[in-house]
Amino acid sequence: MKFRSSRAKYWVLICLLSIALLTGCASASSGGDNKTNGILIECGADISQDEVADFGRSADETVKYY
Amino acid sequence: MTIVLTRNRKAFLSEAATRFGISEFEANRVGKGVDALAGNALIVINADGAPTPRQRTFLLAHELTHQYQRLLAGNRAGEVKWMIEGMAEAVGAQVVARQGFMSLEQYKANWQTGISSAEKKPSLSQLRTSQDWSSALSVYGTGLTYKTAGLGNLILLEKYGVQRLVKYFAELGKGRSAGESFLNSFELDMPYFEKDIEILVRKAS
Repeated sequence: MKFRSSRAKYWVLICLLSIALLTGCASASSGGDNKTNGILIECGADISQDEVADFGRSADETVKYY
Repeated sequence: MTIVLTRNRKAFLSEAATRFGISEFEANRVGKGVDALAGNALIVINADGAPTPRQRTFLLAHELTHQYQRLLAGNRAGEVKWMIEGMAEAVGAQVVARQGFMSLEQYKANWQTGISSAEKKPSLSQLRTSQDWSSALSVYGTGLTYKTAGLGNLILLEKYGVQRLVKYFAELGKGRSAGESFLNSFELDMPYFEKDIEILVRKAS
């Protein structure tokens, strides 16, 4: 039973991450918010689109990695 | 999950104070020497602290790993500091390698060389508790302390795969001790593995 519970928890985590990956949208707007893989990236003043893209790619790759 | 990007150190500390509901003084204290602060489903980042694409990739992969660890083990995730910080370092290196900025072999070689060439170096067994970790940061410096924890976890990752590291945190989340969690995940005694890494580093010196 304990084994089952551990496996279930693990698969719930994997499913949540997969749902985030599948439902995520990438919409870049200047100086606004960006959402990728269900992760919202909020930008403060003077953050470039290149920086947002780098952080967004890292978020994508990390989610895929798990 | 929300990631807040700020331009510089001043904006970072001010945003962290607001988002985490702490005073500016407290934000200064906890944010000393770091470019990211994380809470429940929230990461505040000083973008100036990661000026290259490789550094941005590493920093965010490191912080997202801490979010997963907390999801699995809650407040117990940090029971063994070299595991929580080292896994975040090792996954950071993996994600950087997958993006093609630097290979895993280069990371491993850099960490090994950095540790081997240091006159005084910590062993993993000296990096277990929060108190151990804080004093190691003062005695050995941030770079060497993180490299040591990172190398230990990179070796675990290479040998056993990320699912075993995830299992370690899941076991902690079920209330097992760190030693039991480590044994159940890697079929190894933690002190034995710590000694093994110490020998490996000594041989490379």
